[in-house]
Amino acid sequence: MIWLPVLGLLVGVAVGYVANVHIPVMYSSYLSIAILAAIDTVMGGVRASLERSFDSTVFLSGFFFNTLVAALLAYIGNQLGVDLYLAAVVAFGVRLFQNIAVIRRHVFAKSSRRKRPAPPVA
Amino acid sequence: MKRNRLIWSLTGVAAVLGFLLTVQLTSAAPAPDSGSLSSYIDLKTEVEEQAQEHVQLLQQIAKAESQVQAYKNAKGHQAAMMEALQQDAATVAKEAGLTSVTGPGITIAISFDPSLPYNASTAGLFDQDADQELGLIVNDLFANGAQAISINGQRLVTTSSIRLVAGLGGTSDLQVNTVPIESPYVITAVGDIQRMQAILTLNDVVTELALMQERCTITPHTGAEGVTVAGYQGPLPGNFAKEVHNG
Repeated sequence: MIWLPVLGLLVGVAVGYVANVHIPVMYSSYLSIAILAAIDTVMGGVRASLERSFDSTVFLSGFFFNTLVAALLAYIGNQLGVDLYLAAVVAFGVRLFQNIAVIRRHVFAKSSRRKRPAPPVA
Repeated sequence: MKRNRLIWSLTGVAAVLGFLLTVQLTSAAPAPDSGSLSSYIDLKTEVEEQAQEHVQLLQQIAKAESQVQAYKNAKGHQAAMMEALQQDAATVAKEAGLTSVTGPGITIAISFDPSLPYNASTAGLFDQDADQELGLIVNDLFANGAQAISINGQRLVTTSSIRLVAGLGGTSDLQVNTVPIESPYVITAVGDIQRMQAILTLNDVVTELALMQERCTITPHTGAEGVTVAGYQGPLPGNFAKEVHNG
């Protein structure tokens, strides 16, 4: 079952190639911010699953909502002439690294528990 | 059950993420290094300008290609070649403003009117900066739909001038294309009537001229006959070029 997300990613990439969708260059920055938000949400979901607090509704709504809001923020910033997208980049970037750090610790803790020999039975 | 939800949610999100990444990577090719751009906005502006320039260049290429094709088709046929060249000459003459233009347009008549209210600070100022006033009006017209403009019959082309020339007797003469013109000044413009009238209204031209005791009358001429702007009759640049007749 664990290979399903990888398969999903490959399917998404394949669909992207086959669909051959080209967005105008002027909108590509919005998509970049949206992708950053999406990656952040995915990492948040993985972390939540490791901490056994995963909620699919929160995860899915967060994914779409964050993606859209990040792109919207970049668009509004562009219209106002203020680099508002930097706010999204910083917020998502910081959270992304925090989540990755927590995931790393969880993985290390899990692997060290497996390696540790079982206590002797009296 | 919860694990299944996690797996399927991650799968769906991974698919969407993969799609977004692919679209982004295939759409936005890395831009070449074009110097130090301070921010994303600079880059965006530059991209838009380049896109506009690209469209203009494509149009120029298409025009040049059609011209080359016309020459190729006329190859070996002197009459056809001559016709193609004459067509080119006619097009260039039209673009240079050497031919008269007729169509819907407006006329703006400006003349001194002592019956207008006298304002001590502004009355008579028009005579001192008539060139600037007329220049502003024609620039506004050109920027807002005018295709051809003349002032008192003098066609405005790319080399035209509107000058106020002081004479020895202390009087000033207004010259358009170095030809002296006198009041009443009549600006004739062929083009988009609504846009031209709109910019004149927006800039409050009639009121501003009235402050200087100059009556400004704007008359629209709709229909195919409309108004006629005469072609440029003055000297052309390139006086040193001589036509050569061989045989």
